[in-house]
Amino acid sequence: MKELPKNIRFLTKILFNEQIREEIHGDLMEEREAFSQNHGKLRTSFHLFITTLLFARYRYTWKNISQINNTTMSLKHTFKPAWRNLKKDKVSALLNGVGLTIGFTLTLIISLMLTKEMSYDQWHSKSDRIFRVTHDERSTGRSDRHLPTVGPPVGPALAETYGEVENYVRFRDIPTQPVRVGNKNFYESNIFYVDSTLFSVFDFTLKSGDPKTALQSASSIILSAEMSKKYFGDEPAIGKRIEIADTPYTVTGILNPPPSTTHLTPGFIIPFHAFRVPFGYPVTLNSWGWISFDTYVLLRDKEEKDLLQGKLEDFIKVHWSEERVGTFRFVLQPLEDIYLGDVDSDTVASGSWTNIYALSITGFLLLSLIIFNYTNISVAQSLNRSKEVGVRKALGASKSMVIAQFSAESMLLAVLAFLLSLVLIFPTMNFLRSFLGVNIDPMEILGFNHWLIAAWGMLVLVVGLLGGAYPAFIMSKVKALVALSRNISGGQLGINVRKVLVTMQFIITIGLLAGSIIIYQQISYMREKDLGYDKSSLAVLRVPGPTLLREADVLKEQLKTIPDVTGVAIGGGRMDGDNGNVPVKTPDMEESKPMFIEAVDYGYFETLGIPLVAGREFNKSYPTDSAGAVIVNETAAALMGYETPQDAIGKSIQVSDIRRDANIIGVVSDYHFSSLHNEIGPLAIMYPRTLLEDVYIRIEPGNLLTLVNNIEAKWNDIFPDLPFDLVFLESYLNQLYLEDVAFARMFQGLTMVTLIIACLGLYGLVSLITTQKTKEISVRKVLGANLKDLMGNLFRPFALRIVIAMLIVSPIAYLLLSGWLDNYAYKIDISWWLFLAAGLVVLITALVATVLHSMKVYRINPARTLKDE
Amino acid sequence: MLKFLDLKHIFYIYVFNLHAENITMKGTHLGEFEELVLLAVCTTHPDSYGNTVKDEINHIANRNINLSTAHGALARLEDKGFLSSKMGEATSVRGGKRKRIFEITAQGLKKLEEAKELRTSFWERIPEKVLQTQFVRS
Repeated sequence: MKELPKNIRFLTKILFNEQIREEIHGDLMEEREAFSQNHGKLRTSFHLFITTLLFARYRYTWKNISQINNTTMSLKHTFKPAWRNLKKDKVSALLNGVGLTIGFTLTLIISLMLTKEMSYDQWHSKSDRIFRVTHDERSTGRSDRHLPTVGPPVGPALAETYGEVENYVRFRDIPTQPVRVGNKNFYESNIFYVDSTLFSVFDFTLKSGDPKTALQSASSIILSAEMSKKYFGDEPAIGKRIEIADTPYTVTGILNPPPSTTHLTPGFIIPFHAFRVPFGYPVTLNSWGWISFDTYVLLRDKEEKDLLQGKLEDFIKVHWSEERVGTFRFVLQPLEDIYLGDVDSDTVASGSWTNIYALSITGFLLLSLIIFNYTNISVAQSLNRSKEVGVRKALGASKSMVIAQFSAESMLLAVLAFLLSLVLIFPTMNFLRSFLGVNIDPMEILGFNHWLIAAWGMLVLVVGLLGGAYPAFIMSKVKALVALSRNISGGQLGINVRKVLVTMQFIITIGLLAGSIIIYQQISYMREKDLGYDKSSLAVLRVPGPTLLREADVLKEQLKTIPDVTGVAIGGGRMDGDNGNVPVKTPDMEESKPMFIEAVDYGYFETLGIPLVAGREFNKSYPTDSAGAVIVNETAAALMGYETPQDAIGKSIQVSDIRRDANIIGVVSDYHFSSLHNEIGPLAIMYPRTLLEDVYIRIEPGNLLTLVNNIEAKWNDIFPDLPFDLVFLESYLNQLYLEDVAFARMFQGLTMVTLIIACLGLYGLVSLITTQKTKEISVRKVLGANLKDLMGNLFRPFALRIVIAMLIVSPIAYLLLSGWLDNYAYKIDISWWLFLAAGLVVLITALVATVLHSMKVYRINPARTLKDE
Repeated sequence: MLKFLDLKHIFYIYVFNLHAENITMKGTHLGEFEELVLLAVCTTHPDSYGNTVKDEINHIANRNINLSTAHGALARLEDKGFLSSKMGEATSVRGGKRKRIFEITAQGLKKLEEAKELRTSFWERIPEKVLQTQFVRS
């Protein structure tokens, strides 16, 4: 008769012990013989498999195994008491369990967030061969610019000249445009012109449509799944018509939603050959200097990157005039580095290393806090069990068996807490999504990073073992005779380690507390800082430039007729730092310096409440203003070398190519035209009407709804076909700090959690210590000590450690926090009382925990606790 | 464990109206399927082991039980003391593997008879009329 198949033999081997394996083997073989006569081969083997599995019932498996197998028997003898011990000391188990679960949940989430941040764009199958060509003037020292873009001919020329380059894709983003389908009409900003090689370089896929032909016709367009849903709902969008800035396109494809770890998030993709140079631009698609095209190249071999990087020097020499050579460099930036890279770009998603460092540090601190806490309580707890260890040793337990016993106990709790936290990840993620806007899909991240699961396993192992290691170590050294004859109490064992661990806990808690106070102060400082203009009750209306050019005067007049509108002015931005940067030169300067530019209309500074320190602002009565006048801010005037703003007035100035020759007519006081992350830079303000697109409306605070309705009515009269896009400047500016606020909230949340965990730990520790000291306290009471003395006695060591922790943590936290504050151009000072306050909070918490417990012990009648002495 | 046993006793006394001295650790209740297995062990004697017992039940009772189900029941009945088992001789038919041969014990036989008597006593108490109507209806 044929031997059983390998898989069945393996199964029986792990399920059954050798005593019953023989009869089961025999019966299974007979069963197979009988069954195969009526059924097919596959069916038979399946049947056999299921039958074998079903054998794993009743006494055929576990019961017999545990009686026979040596390893399983000792496991049973280790875990059963472990479980009993957990149940015996329910309070400690609960405190530990809650602390561990919270800690694990947060550590897991932090690890997910970190993994997401670090794994951007790795999902492209060729991600290691894709590079972005960037324009770097920083390394040549010419200016501070490192642009993510290059000129339009660079991509094709690279692919043609160098064999190393297999393919290229260019992305050209266009400014916000009105998009219309039927009566749906919105402004959209993520519109890109993209080469048709998109799908052969990147791993973007189409949900519907053919990637080969979707970008062939100049009138075709690919939508993201999100945009398709927005404009067409659940109907199939393919073949439908969509208008972008009055140009009709036909939908030829819908993108599959890419993984969330993508720095490219196009909403609309138009074939690159449909791109036309905007009217009035003095460039063509062959202009090497038109640095506005994100260009990605796919190399044949990733090893050839350095080789090609070197050849790019020659490439520049071939295509640029002699005076331009040496002023800039092309850099091949690896795709996977783009998200966290320092090349500024506002069209693609980007992350920051600061956040990653802050997250890792907090996560690490949190984790160590859990471990310290866990160790502390287990150490204190193990002292109550010296008798148990004594008995075990007397019965012949070896040192390693005692160690195994304690480790098993702490592993058991750690594993339980870990399993619970795995479940808790999902509700916590939902909470984070709605409150912090942190959008992470755990399954997606895990799907791309399997190693994370192994890392989590290691985490449990490390926490479990470290938590149990110390008590296991000290208890295993206890001699049976000593443990049984004398009462080891009061904690001669491990007292020093415990002291150190408690101090460490205080250090972490105080540090995090101080950190979250500083972060909170910085965020509220940014929100309340005087921006140099009156940001309250200002509404901003966006109008596409060319349209506004035609209707500006009408719009202004019409808006002024609304009762609650007290002023109207037009500017070229929303104070969000979206300004161009061009070289500016005056005859008094040796060489030109980069300055920001801004475009404003008559009466802008008056409406916004920005004072002029010298000269005047643009005025209708001076016809030369629109062609030959420039206003600069104080910083710019100082940069030009004028000692007082007055000196700058009337001087001639050359602003890039836009204004050849103009005169400075005014100097405006410094105001924040970009977010507070940046210092106020030098600013040159002009009056080119084509760049204006934001209408500032100063309103009376009052009935906002009626006001907005009134403005919209006027709008619909003048521009019936354009979407109405009104924002209030104050709330719009808050968006600039969304990331900071989310970060701050998250840090505060983490601090709260660490505080809670630390409290739980402290509470558990104090309760164990007081229980161990019950007799001591009773004796003191009999001798006449009152509650105050007892509490002081209990609390003094903690207070001392808090003070020590405060002294240790202050300089470290000071350094870290001032490092963080350096991200902000405008920041608060770290005050000396900060650490004192944080320490005080911890002190009070510790006091409460101590008081709660000493009260309990104090109330016990000494006669009861001392009766057996 | 003691606590658990106490509860179990109370449960049996009140629910099944049994007396405490009749209750042992292993329940001696004989289920319908267990009865079939016991009977099958008797009919297949002397070659009663997992496969033959399974086949017997599947043929006579027209069921479709799995080999492992038969094994489970046999093991359970042995624990209850209704069956005894010993390893048989090695034969070439099963690739040299021995089989576990089951045999009914006196206790098991007694239990079977009790079960049969219980049924018979019920049958005897059925009024004639009921049997007739049953007959007519079918």
